[in-house]
Amino acid sequence: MNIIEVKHVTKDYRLYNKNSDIVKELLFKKSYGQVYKALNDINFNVKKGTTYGVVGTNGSGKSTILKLINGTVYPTSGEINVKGTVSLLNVGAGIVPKYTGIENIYYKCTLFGLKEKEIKEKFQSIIEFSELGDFINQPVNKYSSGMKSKLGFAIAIHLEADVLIIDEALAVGDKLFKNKCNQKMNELKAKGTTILFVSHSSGQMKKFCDRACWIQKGELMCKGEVKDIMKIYDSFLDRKQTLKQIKKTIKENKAIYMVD
Amino acid sequence: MDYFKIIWNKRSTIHKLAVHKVKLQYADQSFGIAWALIKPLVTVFSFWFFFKIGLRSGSPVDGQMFILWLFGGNMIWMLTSEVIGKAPKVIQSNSVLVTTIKFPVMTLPIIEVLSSLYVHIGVMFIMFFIFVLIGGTTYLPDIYYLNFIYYWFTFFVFFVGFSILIAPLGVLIKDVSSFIGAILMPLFWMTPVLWNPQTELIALLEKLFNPFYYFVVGYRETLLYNTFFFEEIWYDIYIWLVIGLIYVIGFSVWKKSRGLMPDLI
Repeated sequence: MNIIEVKHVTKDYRLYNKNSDIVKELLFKKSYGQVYKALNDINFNVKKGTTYGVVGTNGSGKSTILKLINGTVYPTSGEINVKGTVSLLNVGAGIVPKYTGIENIYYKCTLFGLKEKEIKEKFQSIIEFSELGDFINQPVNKYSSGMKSKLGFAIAIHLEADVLIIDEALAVGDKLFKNKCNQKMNELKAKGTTILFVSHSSGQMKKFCDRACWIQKGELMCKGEVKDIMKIYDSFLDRKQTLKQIKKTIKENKAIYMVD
Repeated sequence: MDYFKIIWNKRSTIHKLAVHKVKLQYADQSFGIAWALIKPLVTVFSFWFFFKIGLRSGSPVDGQMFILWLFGGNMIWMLTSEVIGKAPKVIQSNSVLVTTIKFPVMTLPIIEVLSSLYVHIGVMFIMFFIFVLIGGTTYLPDIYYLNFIYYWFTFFVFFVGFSILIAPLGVLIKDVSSFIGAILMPLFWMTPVLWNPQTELIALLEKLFNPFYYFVVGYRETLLYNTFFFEEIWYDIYIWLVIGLIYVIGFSVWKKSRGLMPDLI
């Protein structure tokens, strides 16, 4: 069963030179801004329970696709279907700086739609997982970046969403915490949670993911088994092959590089 | 209609977030929520000082103690100006919600108005005691105080509509926030908070073109003049028609800008 379906999704951002251009556009129904295509006709499906990787270099549109799946940004055209709840964990982790750790936990859980009783049940477990100790009562703007990501991760996994999206969020944690996260992610996987993992590094991908896709400058290059995709992505990163050669390889081996 | 359904389903979350907002607003201050009471007291006493000592005026207004008359209009005006000032920033100030969680953004204006209203209602209950302390037992709460429930409800509906109209404009056009900040002062002086309309004509013009007057005059009459809100029924109907119009315009603005908003934050 496909839990996430991305069908012919295109996302344009409009770039305006002047702020007043936005007003003009709204009033006169004429386009004043430049169009920047962040994503162009992206298609892929994710089956329930898989850990799916999205790789790509900086500015390739990875984060845009996550936002679209998360439902916070709307596609310009195309369709996205997600069956179930989504929890997003990105670098900022959606944490409010002036709130304390405790308040952030309460706030995010409430927003996610958890009931008072459910929040109370999870509270202790989230605090323990975050390893923050007394800092949990301090405002988050006093945290180090590692502490922030620990808190964000602790909250995100305890929400028990059907889809967990992780956007480069583990990059800052130390190895000890990373290992703990890996363990927790394996637990979630065993429970049938679908995980969407985004990174520009192929090392992490190979460790976690079953399947993956590669997005390059807003285009879907290939999708398939994680080892195949990472191999071809690495050959691009290491400058062993040019994009043109890679595209040719993909075209010739569609059964490997273009499967959901 | 879908909008109202979503809101209804989310009502307990909205309430919780509004309460949460109130707590956080005062969380890092030693006096905490007491500031919500101190602010209107200081404001009203400084007006009183200005009129009574500075201008040597401030005689009883229509037979009511001047200071209580000041309280009547000022209490609701302070809430009004707070909510108007917040309206263009409702979405940016909650950008975490808009950009990281799939959350019905249209509930944000409600949460903001509600959190201000909760504090106001709490302060009003303390004010009722203060009025009696100042004015004596004539100012004990009576049956007319039921008006407040109506005015709080109407205020809520009116300003949620107002915020729905202003909030997307605040995102699309950054100047809106400064514009609102600039007109708050003239609005204050043009609304009879510190004065009474001297002629019927001025009163009529205020009623037709200044919806904020509705709440100011309503508060005053409830506190001091023992009048029920429905004693001038055409004015109530007129205000509800205005509210309807605000919602119609607000929804169409929202619809047009909804897709753009997350991209512009």
